[in-house]
Amino acid sequence: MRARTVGEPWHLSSQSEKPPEDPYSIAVDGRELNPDRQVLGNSQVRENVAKLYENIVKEVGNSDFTFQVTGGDRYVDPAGNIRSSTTGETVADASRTSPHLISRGARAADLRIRGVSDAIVDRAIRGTSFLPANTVRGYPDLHTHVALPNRPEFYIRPRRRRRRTPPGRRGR
Amino acid sequence: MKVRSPGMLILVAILLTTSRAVLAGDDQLPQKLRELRTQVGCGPVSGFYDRPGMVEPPYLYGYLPGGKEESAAFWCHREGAEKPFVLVLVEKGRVTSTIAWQNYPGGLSLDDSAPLRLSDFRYVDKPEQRGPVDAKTTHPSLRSEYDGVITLFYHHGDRWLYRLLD
Repeated sequence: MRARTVGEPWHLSSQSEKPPEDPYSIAVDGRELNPDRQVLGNSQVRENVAKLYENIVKEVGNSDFTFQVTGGDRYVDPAGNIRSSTTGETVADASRTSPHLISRGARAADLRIRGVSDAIVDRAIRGTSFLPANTVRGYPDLHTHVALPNRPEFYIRPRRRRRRTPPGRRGR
Repeated sequence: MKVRSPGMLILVAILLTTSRAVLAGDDQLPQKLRELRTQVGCGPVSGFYDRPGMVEPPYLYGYLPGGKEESAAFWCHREGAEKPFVLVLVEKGRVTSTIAWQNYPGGLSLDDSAPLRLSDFRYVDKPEQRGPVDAKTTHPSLRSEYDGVITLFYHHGDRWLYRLLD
C-alpha cells in the first residue's frame, strides 16, 4: 500500500481512510455553493464562504445571482508540481507560495460571482474574516480570489490520527 | 485620561504635537517619488503595511535594465476612481506610464525567472487579448506580490502586459 504524500488529500491516496460524509458541501438555505465539491479542507474557509454569500444576499435583498466555488486547495507533489486537491491535475499559473496550498494554510478559495457589482462583493467581504487586501480579480476566467489572513490561527488544522495500539500491548 | 495639573497638560500637548509630526513624515515613498506621486494626482496607499506576513515596499528602483537610479516604479492611490490603485513608472526622473489597477497592490520587486512566454500574459488595456505568440521576456518583469498572489507587469513595444499567478 502506498503511503500518502505529506499534504496529499485523502481521496488521492490508496489508503482505506474513510472520509467524513460530504465534507466539502457548503449549503446555505438549501443552496449548494460548492456543487463541484472543490476540496476546501480548512473549515474556516468553508464557513467564511457561506458568510460571504449570506452577506451578499443581505446587501442585495435576494439570491438571484451566481455564486459558486471554482477553486480550492492545492498540494505540491513529490516532483515539485503544484496540483489541485480536487482533480489531482497540475494548476496553471500557480504561485509557489499560494494561500491555496495546504502547506500555506489552505486559506484561499476561488469564486464565480456574477450578477452583483464588485463594490457589493467588497462590502460583503468586509463582514467576513477574508482579508480585503487579499481579494484579487482580473483572471482570464473572471473568478474572484479570496483568502484568509496569513496568520497561524487561520491555517488548516491537521487531521487527528488515531493511535494504533501495538499488537503485544493490547488491553494494557 | 484625566489631566490633573497644568504641567501634565503641557506634557500631553507636547506628546501629541510630536507624534503628529512623526506621522506627517512617515510616508511610504522616498522624497523624489513623493513629488512625482503628487504630480500624477495620487496619494499613499492606505494601510499598505497594515497586514500580516511579509510586505515588500510599494516602490522599487531599477525596474529597467541599466543604472538603478535611472528607473523606478511605485504604487499610489486615487480616491474615487473605478480602478483606484495606480502603478507609476518613472524613467530618468520623469513619469513615463501609469497603470490604473483594481486590486489592492502588493510589494514591488523584480522577477528574474527564466524568460517567460508573452502569450501567457494579457494586455493591461485589453485583458481579453493575449500577448504575442513566439515572443519572450528579455529582461526581468516587474513583480507585485502579497501573500502568494503575484502580478507580473512587462512592457513590450508600446504596451503593458500583465500576468496573475496565485
